This record gives sequence, C-alpha cells and structure tokens, in this order.
Amino acid sequence: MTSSCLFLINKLPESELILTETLDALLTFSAFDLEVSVLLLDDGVNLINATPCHTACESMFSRFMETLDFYGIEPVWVESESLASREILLNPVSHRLRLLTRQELPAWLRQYSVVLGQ
Amino acid sequence: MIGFCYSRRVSVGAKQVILTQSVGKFIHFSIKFMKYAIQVNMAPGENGVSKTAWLFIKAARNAGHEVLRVFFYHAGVENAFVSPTEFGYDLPDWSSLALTDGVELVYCTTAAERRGKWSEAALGGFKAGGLGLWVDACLRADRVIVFG
Repeated sequence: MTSSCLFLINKLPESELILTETLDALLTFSAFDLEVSVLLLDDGVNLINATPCHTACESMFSRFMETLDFYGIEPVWVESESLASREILLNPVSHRLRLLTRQELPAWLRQYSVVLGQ
Repeated sequence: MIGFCYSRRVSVGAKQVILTQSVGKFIHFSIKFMKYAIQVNMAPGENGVSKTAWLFIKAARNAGHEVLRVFFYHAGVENAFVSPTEFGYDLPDWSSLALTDGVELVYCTTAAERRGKWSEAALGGFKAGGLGLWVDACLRADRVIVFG
C-alpha cells in the first residue's frame, strides 16, 4: 500500500492553468490520506523567483504556497544547487521552504512510494 | 531426458513467474510482471510524447505486463478528442488500444472542460473520470510512469 507521494516540479508551469491542475492533483492525493510532499528541482525553482521580471511567477508561487498551507502540506523542499545555479534568492515565504542538496537527493527520494513528475 | 518445469507464484504487489528448465544443467529464469499506472500529459503530436507513451504501453503488454489504467491529464486530454486519421502525421491510435487490447483509458473531465472540450464527444474507448481514478491506479500499481 502506498503511503507517501512526492510531486517533483522540475520545470516552470507554462501557465496558471497547469499550476492549478498540479495543485488539484496534489490536493486529491492528500485527500486520500497520503503523505504528500513537494520538491522544486532544476527549472522548477523558477517558481519562487521574486525578481520584478517574474511577477507572474511570484503571484503563482504565493497562491501555490497559500493553497499548500491551507491543506497542511509543508514544507516545500527545494534543491539548493538548482537555486544557486539560477542565482535565485529566496522570497519572504522562504521560511516554509527546506533546502536539500543534490547529494542528499537520491537517498531522500527512496522514502517515497510514488514520485510524480509534473 | 529433457524436463520442463513451470510454476507460477503470486507475490505481494506483483505476479512472479518462475520458469525452470533442465537441459543437462539448470537454467533459472525469473520474470516479474509489473502492474503499471500511466499518466499522459501532452497533446497528440506534441514532441511525440503521446506516441512514446502509446509505444511503451504496447511493448509492456507484449512483454506480459499489466497496464492498470492510462490517465490523460493537462494537455494530454486532447488525445481523447483527436482522431489519428484527422491529421497527416503519425498519431497513436489510443482507441484501438482500449477497444482491442482492453486497456482502460480515462481522461480528466475537469482538464477537458478547462480546454473547452465539455461539449465534444470523446473517441471510442475513452472514459471520463476524475483524479480519484488516478490516485486509485497509483495505489494499486507496482510502477507509476508520467509521460510529459
């Protein structure tokens, strides 16, 4: 029996529609009493980019975090090398983010029964 | 004397077939048949993802594996509405996979409605469903694969 599910976001959602549907999937899994986690990896970390040219991403991310918070899904895991290579600074909601190194990733992934790329 | 022994053993989560053949020396084969849950997130013709998924399912079934359900989500719901004969290029024939091979194809109704497909009839073999069916497939499967 599956007990935990990881949503791996490795690219910036092309539109708000895709993000909404990702949230729908995430919340459906959590409604089935599964332990749900989220990992931002590679280009997925652009979701938290708060620079002025990415205001749309910022609002998407705020909504994303608010929804996860509402359903008690936290923390959101972020791969630190992906952040560093894109020179992304964490925004004010960063206290709800946990960093993970690329080295830790393989062992950390093993705890999940299902890993879903979005 | 050439002997052939075939035994079928069902283990937790997956069927396991053990073939034991004796031709002078013992050769032991162990094939584990998997149950797959497949999600398709790309529209037909988009990067060839949908075709790759279709080919994977055909190959998995030919190898004796079971595909519990194919769930079409995001832009993947377009697969339920685009007939392979409508376009000049090579598109996967999902309907035949359902109607001939008995693979369960489910498209997400909400994702389809968001793309203006609420009034169109889906192709033969496709069923309308919700994310609950995808969760159910993930819980029952040995392997979960997302295309796109």
